[in-house]
Amino acid sequence: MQLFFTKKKTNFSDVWYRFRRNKLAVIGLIVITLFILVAIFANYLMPYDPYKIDIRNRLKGPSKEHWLGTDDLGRDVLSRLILGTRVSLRVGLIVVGISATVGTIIGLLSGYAGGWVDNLVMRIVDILLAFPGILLALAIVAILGPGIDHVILALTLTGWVGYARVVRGEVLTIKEEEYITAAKSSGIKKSVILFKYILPNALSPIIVLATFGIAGAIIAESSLSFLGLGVKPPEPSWGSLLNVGRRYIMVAPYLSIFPGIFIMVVVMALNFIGDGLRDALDPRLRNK
Amino acid sequence: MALLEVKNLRVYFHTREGTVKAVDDVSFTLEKNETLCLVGESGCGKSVTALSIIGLISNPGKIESGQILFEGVDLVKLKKSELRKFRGTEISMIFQEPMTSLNPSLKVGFQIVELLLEHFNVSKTEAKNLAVEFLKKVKIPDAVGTYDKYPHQLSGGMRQRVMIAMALISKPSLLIADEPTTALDVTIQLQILELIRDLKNSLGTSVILITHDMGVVANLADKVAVMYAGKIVESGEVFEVFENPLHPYTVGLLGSIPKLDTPKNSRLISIPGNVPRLINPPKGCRFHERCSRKLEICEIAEPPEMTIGNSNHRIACWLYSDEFQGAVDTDERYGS
Repeated sequence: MQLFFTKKKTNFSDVWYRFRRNKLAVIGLIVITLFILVAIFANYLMPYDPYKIDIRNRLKGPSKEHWLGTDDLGRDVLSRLILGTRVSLRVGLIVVGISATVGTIIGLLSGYAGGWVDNLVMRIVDILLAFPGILLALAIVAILGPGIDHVILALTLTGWVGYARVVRGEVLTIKEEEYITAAKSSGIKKSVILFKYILPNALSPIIVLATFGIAGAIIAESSLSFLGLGVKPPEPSWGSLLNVGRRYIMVAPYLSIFPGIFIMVVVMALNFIGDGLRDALDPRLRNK
Repeated sequence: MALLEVKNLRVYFHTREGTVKAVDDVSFTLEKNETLCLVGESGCGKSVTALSIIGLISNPGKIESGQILFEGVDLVKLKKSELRKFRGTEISMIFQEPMTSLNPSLKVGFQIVELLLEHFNVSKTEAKNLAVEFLKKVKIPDAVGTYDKYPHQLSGGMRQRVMIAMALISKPSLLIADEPTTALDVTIQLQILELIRDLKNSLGTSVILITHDMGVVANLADKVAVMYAGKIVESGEVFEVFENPLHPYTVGLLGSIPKLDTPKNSRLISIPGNVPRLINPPKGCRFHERCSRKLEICEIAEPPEMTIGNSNHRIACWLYSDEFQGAVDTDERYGS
């Protein structure tokens, strides 16, 4: 029996094998890869200049020339959406990258130190968690002024707590494992124990959380841009495109429908990946 | 000078329910190239004794008093950072559970190399070669292949071999093995014990072996110390103690081993009762509640430690105290 309970065989080919069997997760991965490619090669994919104003052709519905129609200033919606992919994915990746790193380090230290340090950190986390994240981000952006960098900063400031909490919980269990005692008994340094012995074993929940986190950050950026606190016009992001579309929802509903679909597809794809990863990395579901 | 001298060690755990006297006034010495077995039931303080030598007693536990002299240096007084220099170099430890004692997310080889790079001034290639060499020494068939394996790809016996390789690679003077064979099946147990013995002899390491398996003791030990409820009740050369067990507890332990020549329908001897709770140990001799040869004095006062004859055979039991010679007749004292 022991064999089945030995925790977390983080073996890449194992995980990949199990991940592959989840069709939705694979589809999600393909979709995200496509979107990342779109973001990278946006300049070559845009059929029109996304900033070129053409008042005569404003608010035209989808047609052969403009697949997804034109906006209130006659700009090509498809081109703007493609360029917006960059902003949205960038926000998602940077926010998650920073908050996962910071949160993980804080969680590691807090969980390992224990005692009053842990208590203090966790109370701060509690306070931040008790506050609706988007509201706090809203307040921060309102103070600093709109702009994509401020959005990233605001989302990071509230984003790390989730990671800190999860990692700290993992550390609490892992630090009692016998291999940690064994490592200590062979005189391994604290920092090495922390980063080479504890961290790799706490990695799977972080990966899963990060996948969902990217989706969350994209939505948050969209919400803030929708409220006019995100990217500065004329730069497009999915959220700001949605926001513009809102004004013309009766005349040109496609203006908000297409950005909405983009957001939905990416968020769903990320959630599928997150689900797939969670199952693939979870040792208890291994034999299913 | 003895390699290790533990003097009057007391380790208490301060819990909410009270103070658990896990190790209470324990003393023993270990010479170079000698194997000492600590024997006793679960919860009698064997592991705590071992962990205090390597300085891994953590909250709420605390070494209350006593000395642990390792080559003359008192380990109890050392700072954490100073103590860390002894761990893994001079003193190594093997744990009971090979399944959980290796980091599951790192390759076996990496874990050994890590240890070497931490303590010794060696290059990565040297470390790798040394690691493979030691994997061969612990008789792992495919040493080079095993180097690149994760712990979960190895069987329990193989993992314990890896643990032994890790413990001995720095050629420590003292190896502490905390029930190294308990989690393994019987055929592997013997192989592991032989491996420990062979490596001990070839590297000149002293060994403290913690076990509750008298068979293991007979196999490996030079000296044996029987622990009961945080105290050493009897100690001495292994032959002496096995031939002539004096403390009723030791007698009971030895009597509870089934032998091939025991008649088929006779019952195994067992010691009635359980190990007392160490928060509130019984007054007097801690064994008196379970002892079949209890005297009145046993309930009142702690038995003194005394040496039997002119050997190293030491015992803490009123039955053999001169003061109470009158209470027991000679026959009973040395009988059976």
